[in-house]
Amino acid sequence: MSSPGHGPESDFEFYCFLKANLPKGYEIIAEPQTSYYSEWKFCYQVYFENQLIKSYAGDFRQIAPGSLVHAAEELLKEYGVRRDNRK
Amino acid sequence: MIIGSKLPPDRVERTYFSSGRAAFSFLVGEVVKPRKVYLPAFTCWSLVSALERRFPKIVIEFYPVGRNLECRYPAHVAQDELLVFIHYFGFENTTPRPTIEGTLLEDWSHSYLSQITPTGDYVFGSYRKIVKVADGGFINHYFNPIYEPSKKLDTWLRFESRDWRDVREAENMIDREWHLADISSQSLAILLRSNDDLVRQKRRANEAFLLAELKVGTPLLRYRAKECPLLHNRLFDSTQARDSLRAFLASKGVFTSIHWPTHAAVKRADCDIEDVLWLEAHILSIPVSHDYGLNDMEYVVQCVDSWSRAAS
Repeated sequence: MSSPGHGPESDFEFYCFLKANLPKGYEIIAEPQTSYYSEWKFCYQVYFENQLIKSYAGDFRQIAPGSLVHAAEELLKEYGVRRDNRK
Repeated sequence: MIIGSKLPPDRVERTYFSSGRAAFSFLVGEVVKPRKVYLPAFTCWSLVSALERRFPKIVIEFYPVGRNLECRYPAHVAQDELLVFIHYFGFENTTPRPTIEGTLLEDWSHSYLSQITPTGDYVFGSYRKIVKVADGGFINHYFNPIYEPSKKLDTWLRFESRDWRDVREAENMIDREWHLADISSQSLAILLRSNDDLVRQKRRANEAFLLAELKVGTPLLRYRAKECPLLHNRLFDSTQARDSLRAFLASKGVFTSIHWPTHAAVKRADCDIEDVLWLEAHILSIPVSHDYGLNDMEYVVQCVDSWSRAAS
């Protein structure tokens, strides 16, 4: 299996990419809907030391293409740097 | 050359895929290439969406299915047409098949551990519904597919999962986007070491316990000795009672499901779906997985009894 750590190539990869790459102390959790036909809805929450710091929710069919790819890269850049500063 | 060391590989009468829908799509797109596909109106939506997304030019026609799961197959299936039937929930589908000119496809996703003699031209299915694998589908036939590239992130996520949310998210991922890919090595290893007899025995014991002990609703059908239950399905007089019990069980940590919410394409079709809609409104599917023992089934029965006492 390819590693999800090579960068998200589509908005669909947002969750796995961050799950694989967020620095220690950070965690991303999916809160999916359980009903049938809800596959396009997403809700992802980013925690730092168990505190909710960011939330992403919406419908994949309605977001601007690439917006989650960009958000994932920005998030990792921001928190990756913050992580390094803490060392 | 008569004797040598570089020989062509063996071939077996089974081809693996990443999912049942990938196996189905391979048969439709690469093997049968039909002009028209007949699907049961009582169906898992993944077959419908696989056709709609991958084969928008293929005509889909639905045929009626009764409350007792009896199928009313089309009278005529032409040479360039495909008829799909499902062995529901582990039961053997015993509705006599029509004599057809086209191709007959048999879905074993619910029933591959039931001892069924195939009658279709091809058998396909998904493994995820019975065995705890992260991915997997099959065709009971030798093929040599050129698989599509895939990161298989839904598979990756299932193996990373620690609770139901990531498993659910992975389901959503495969529903959004999937490829005609190969099975993962982990899932294949799990399948090849699975003790099918034990799985069958435990599922049968769990289902038999619920059948004997549940005092509300009525069983959809009774399993025969050779069949391996997927679930214990019960029918309730009213949707209100069914939904009330379902919510109560969820509050006690017991997840149940409904098979199936009727796909929009089925509702749009010119087909008698009265019984399918009735099933959707009255059925409750209770897990009987081999991961659980009779103590778990006893807990389910206790919860149902509590609900029943509170409701009366």
